[in-house]
Amino acid sequence: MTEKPMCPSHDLQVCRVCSKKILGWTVLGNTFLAGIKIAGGVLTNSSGLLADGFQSISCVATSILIMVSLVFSQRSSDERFPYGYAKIEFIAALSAFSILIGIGLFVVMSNLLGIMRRDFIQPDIMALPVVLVSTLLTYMIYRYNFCAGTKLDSPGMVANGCHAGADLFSSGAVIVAIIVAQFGPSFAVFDKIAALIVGVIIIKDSLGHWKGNLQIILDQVSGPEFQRSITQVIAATAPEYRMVHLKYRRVGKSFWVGVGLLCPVKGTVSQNAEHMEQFRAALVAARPEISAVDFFIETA
Amino acid sequence: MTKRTMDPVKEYKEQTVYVLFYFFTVFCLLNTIFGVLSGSKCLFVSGIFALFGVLISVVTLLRIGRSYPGHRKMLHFNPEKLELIVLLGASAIMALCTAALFFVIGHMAFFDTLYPPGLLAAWVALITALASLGFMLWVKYGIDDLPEIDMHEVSFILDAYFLLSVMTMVTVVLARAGGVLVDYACAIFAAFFLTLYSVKFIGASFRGLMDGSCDKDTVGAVEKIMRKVRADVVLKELRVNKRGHILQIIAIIVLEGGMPMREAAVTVQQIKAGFRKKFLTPHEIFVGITEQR
Repeated sequence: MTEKPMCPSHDLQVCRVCSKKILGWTVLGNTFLAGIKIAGGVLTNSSGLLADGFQSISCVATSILIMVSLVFSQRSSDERFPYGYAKIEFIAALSAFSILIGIGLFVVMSNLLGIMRRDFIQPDIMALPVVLVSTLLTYMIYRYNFCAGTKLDSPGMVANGCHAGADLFSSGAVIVAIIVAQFGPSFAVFDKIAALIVGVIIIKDSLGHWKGNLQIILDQVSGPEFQRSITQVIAATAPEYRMVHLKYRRVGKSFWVGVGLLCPVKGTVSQNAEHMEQFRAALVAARPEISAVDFFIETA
Repeated sequence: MTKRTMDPVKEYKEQTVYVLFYFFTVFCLLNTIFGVLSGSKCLFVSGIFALFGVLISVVTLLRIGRSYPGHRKMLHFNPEKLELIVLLGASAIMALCTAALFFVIGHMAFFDTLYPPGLLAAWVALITALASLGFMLWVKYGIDDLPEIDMHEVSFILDAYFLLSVMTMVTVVLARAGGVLVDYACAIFAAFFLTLYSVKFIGASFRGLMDGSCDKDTVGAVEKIMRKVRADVVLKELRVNKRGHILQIIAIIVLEGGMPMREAAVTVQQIKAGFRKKFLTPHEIFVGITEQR
């Protein structure tokens, strides 16, 4: 999804300050939305609005999760976590998308069962203003979270934005269902059909992001060419060195690599250190996704 | 068609873990079903506890498969992270379910009609206790070295399972003698304990996914052995992480800039060989060198 940013600033410091405020407002906003949707759903017999309200509760939970993870992800590495805290945001985002997929599945199953049981209740037209107000607020939450998420390249805020986006879809479906249901009791089924379609859209949208975050947490590399390119860089820089093994792990969006090298026994430690610096510079230039490199001495 | 030859060590390991897997699965089903049928909340919760044993068995089977890749293509990710995600997901679900159980049983104790469990629950608990005891002895004396499985964890689960079964028998007797609330109280206690246990697994898998350092005792032990092997070596950096059941040790040592590389290579070789002799936990050690400034 590509959207225009909410403000023209490209100053990362400004964006970071803004993102903290956005998350705080998101939690408050979603709590308010959950309250009015659940109350509105109960009073107007709208099952779509009620389901929407429960989804807003999950938005509150994921926003708090993302907020906590963002605080930790800024920390530098220490004794407990020598590779840093950057991955925490991806774990939080994966959890958020897992919850969203779970919600999608629940919405699909419950509404399918409702259709099979012919459990249709005609929602009251008074549910419409509640949904319209909540849609407007949700749209603002979605846009601001997405703006901050894309500017800061933050998977957590993007996840939060997607969650609000899914909420928008479900609110849209509820609006359609409420309007159509006013044509008569036989149209009450549209309430469930709309919710079903929304559930499918939520699952489909979330799966792509879920997979992306999973790949980062699993330290997935692009393929065999990752190792091949590192071997080629080392061979091109100093052919007397030979790469024996490669270890890697994700440090946020970038990689730490540990390269096992078969070193020539001529020369001194100082000369070897110079070669290591050359390798380091060449590797980072050839593969910008590598942010940290350690070299290990292997013996024949 | 040629038959694929199986590694006998891998086969033994897999068979051992499958035995544990079937034990925990069968008793999980037995305890939960008979817990519902007999009305014993304590028996039901002990059935849920057996799921931890199932989870550990599944993760161990993944680990054994990973240790013997065989005909599999090279993976382009770190497979021990997949085990951790399975553990994290399952533990999170278990924590939510057991926490919900805690509140549901509490609600039943305060607001529903109380009734004692059937005697059937005591018989099922007795069978479970005897089976757990048998397996505890088998795990302690009958299994060869299996580094892929965390034997302490399995022993702990079996011990706790035995105690839960004994507690179930006692609560059934007491409940039928007039103390109906005993069954509810013990089930609430067990559900609370299970929630805490799930949280422990969540913490451990989260730390593993974040590539967190091992506990201070392990790091201290590694450093101590390193000093024993080469007391003169200056350690610039030491990182000790767990990769599944294998400890990954990264040591960056400081050497004089003028030292010949031949001597440096011998130093590294001595450190690695000495370490392999003295440190018996499965590990992989990588040594890097940096010059003294």
